Amino acid sequence: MKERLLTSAQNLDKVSEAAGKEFSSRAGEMAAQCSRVIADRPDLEQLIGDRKNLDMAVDNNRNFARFMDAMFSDFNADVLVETVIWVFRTYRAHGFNTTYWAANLNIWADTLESELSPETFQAVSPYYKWLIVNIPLFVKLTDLPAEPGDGEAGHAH
Amino acid sequence: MDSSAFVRYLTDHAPILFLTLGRDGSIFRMNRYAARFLGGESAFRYFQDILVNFNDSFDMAEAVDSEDALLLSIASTDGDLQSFYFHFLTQDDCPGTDVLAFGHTDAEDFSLMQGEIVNLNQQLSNMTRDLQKKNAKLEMAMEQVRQLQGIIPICMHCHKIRNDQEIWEQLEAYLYEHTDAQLSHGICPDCMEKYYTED
Amino acid sequence: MLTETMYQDYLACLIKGDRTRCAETVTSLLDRRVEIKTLYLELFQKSLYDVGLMWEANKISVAREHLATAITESLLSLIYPELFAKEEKTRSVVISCAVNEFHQVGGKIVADFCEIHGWDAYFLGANTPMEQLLGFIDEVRPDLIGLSLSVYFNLPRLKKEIRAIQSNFSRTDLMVGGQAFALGGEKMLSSVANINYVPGLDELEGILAHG
Repeated sequence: MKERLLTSAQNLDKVSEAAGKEFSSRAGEMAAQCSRVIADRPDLEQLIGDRKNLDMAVDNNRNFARFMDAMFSDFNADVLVETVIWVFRTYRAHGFNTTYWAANLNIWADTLESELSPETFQAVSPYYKWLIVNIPLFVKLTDLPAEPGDGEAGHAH
Repeated sequence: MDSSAFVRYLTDHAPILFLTLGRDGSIFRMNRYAARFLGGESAFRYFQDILVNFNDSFDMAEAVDSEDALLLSIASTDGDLQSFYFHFLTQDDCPGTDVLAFGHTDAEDFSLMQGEIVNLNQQLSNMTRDLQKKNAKLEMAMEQVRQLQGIIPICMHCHKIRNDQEIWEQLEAYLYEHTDAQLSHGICPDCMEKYYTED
Repeated sequence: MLTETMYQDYLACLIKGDRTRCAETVTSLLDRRVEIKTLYLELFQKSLYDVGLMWEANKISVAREHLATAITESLLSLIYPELFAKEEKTRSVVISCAVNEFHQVGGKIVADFCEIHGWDAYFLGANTPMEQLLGFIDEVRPDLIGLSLSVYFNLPRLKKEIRAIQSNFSRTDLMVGGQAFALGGEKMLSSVANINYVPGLDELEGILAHG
């Protein structure tokens, strides 16, 4: 399953320097906007498990933006797959529902389209589409008990 | 514990201020935590009097009308200042005691403090490390100074020095080993005259 | 000498925030002449990893994790009188956290580990500005520079820092490590020349022995 994710991630087209730069300059602002949108959703508690997890959801968006920024400037499929697995596992352990990622990633897709130039949106949106279509695989992978090497090492936050 | 006893337990022990007030701010009742915090029910007559630096600006009528929680600071009997978010609710069916003031601690205070303490702890531990490191270097330098103090046995004729291993060595070699000094050879005027003056 | 029971007791105290009891464990181990290296590997590093995993599994809050880190940092100072022994250290190393890196305990453990192995190790803390780092390197002129990265998304900043160091001090060896690479990505450093990637303290020992 992980191999399939790695292969498909490796097929993602590299983001041009100009598109990466534009994304980078807007990343923080877009993360804040996505957090505002999700915080206003009436089904927020169902998505994140508990209202007290809102800080974690905001943190996630901030870190997600920085992480994608790093990926666009220097792509590494292994790191992308392992990190997403880590995020799914850790956030699910804290009570986040698997529907959170569908909701949050769709908010990101909308925000990217409205905030970025059409060229940059074209360049970066395949990465978000890849994340969205692969949600079931990430869920399945993190349903299982941790396998050695499945990103079990600690993560700073 | 039945539900009313549970509510009583909470109002007595949870860090929540719960006061029953008149519209002019006069205090009628308060929960046990508030009484402990403020030094008893009879310590103050008006809500405005328990506020710190708000006596002039706080307006009871505005507070009651406000839909947002108000961040107000009050001083405990120990003199500690603490911020609370206050909500004011009116209860029209109880004339005279018609305002409920409900204050809870400012959770952001704690997270701000937490972040600051983490930073301070990092700085402090880095300073401790630097200090210990410098201290060890100083002690090492002191040890060198101590080695050069005291009585050094020197040959009265050739000026060789007897070291710790009872070996006589050249003054230059001794200095090179025991100090950071660099030696540069020259000739003093007396030796110049003794060795180089042509008859 | 450091038994599993002692370790579990230490870990429980660390999470509870019982700094005094944790310090007692460390001093009693020091009194019994436990190898300093063992304290770093089997007590400090291991417990911090375990605490991290507990946060990930939602067994402790992030505040408890910060508390455990803060206590560990303060416990390191109990070792310093032994660590900075009065002996001449001929090789020096500067360890620093990258800009925007707010986690420093890993880097500090690395710096202390270098001291254990006879290096004069200077430590610059969390979020050290690049100018300050370059100025310090210029002042100390170390034989080795170590940069610690704990979050992967700071990699672009780290690379910028590496390029600045290499253009100013091209002859000084450079090593990079940290939790940021726990999920891979160390290959991304290969685009920057002459970098030693150090996955852990065991590998660091090899570098220090031959450095």
